[in-house]
Amino acid sequence: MLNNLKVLRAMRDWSQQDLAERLEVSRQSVNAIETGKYDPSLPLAFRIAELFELPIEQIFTSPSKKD
Amino acid sequence: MTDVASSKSSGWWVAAFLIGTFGTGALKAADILTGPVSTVLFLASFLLIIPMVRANQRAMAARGITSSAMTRYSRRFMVASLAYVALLFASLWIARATDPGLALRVILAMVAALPVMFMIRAMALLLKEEQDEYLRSRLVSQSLVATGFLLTVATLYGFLNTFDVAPRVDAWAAFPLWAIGLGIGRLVQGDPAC
Repeated sequence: MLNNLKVLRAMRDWSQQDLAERLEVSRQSVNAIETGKYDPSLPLAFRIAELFELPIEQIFTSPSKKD
Repeated sequence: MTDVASSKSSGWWVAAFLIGTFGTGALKAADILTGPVSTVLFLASFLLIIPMVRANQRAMAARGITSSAMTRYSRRFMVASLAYVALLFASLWIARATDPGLALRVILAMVAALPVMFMIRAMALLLKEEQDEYLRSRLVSQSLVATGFLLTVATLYGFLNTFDVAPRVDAWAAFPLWAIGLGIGRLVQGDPAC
């Protein structure tokens, strides 16, 4: 699933480690989500959305709408 | 410590452990090292498990693959591994030094197997306690690869036994085979810890 986590993180000048600590996950998890290797669960996606104060669909792109 | 430096440190400790255990074992088997000193040296070489596990933890932390559940797992597995070496050698020594009856042989077998059961328990607890969903999903995938590998090898080898074309192997080989499968699972996943 495509996402703009990297851009949002860069806008806040956060490293992957900073974001991982805020989400209480490993840096490896943040890296896997950012690169699209892993799709987060709904609870984690909501946590990410709440952290960035954005709706989920502004962070993650639905696979059916990626074109 | 950087990713590369911690990986190298971890690699060196793995090499030291393998050289220590296999080296002293080979010297003992070749009668170059003899007597109780050789046994003590051989058993003492297994203490290298402690720095090896700690170096691996540092390497994992440097790559961002760390969690409190993983730390607890490493500690449990390290204790079980050391207990396994001690109890296995104690059981074998008692079996050779005495002529144990059926009941004692059953007890000795259970004593040798007990630490392995604790290793399996440590793995189960890791899956239960890991709060990081990505790390947990990777562990589950690796476990499935390991299980598939074990079942495939066991089925194939079992039929080789059926047709009398391979020597019988003790069933305890299942656990190390599963662990090899876990390593294959990590490679298949492109695990950065590999």
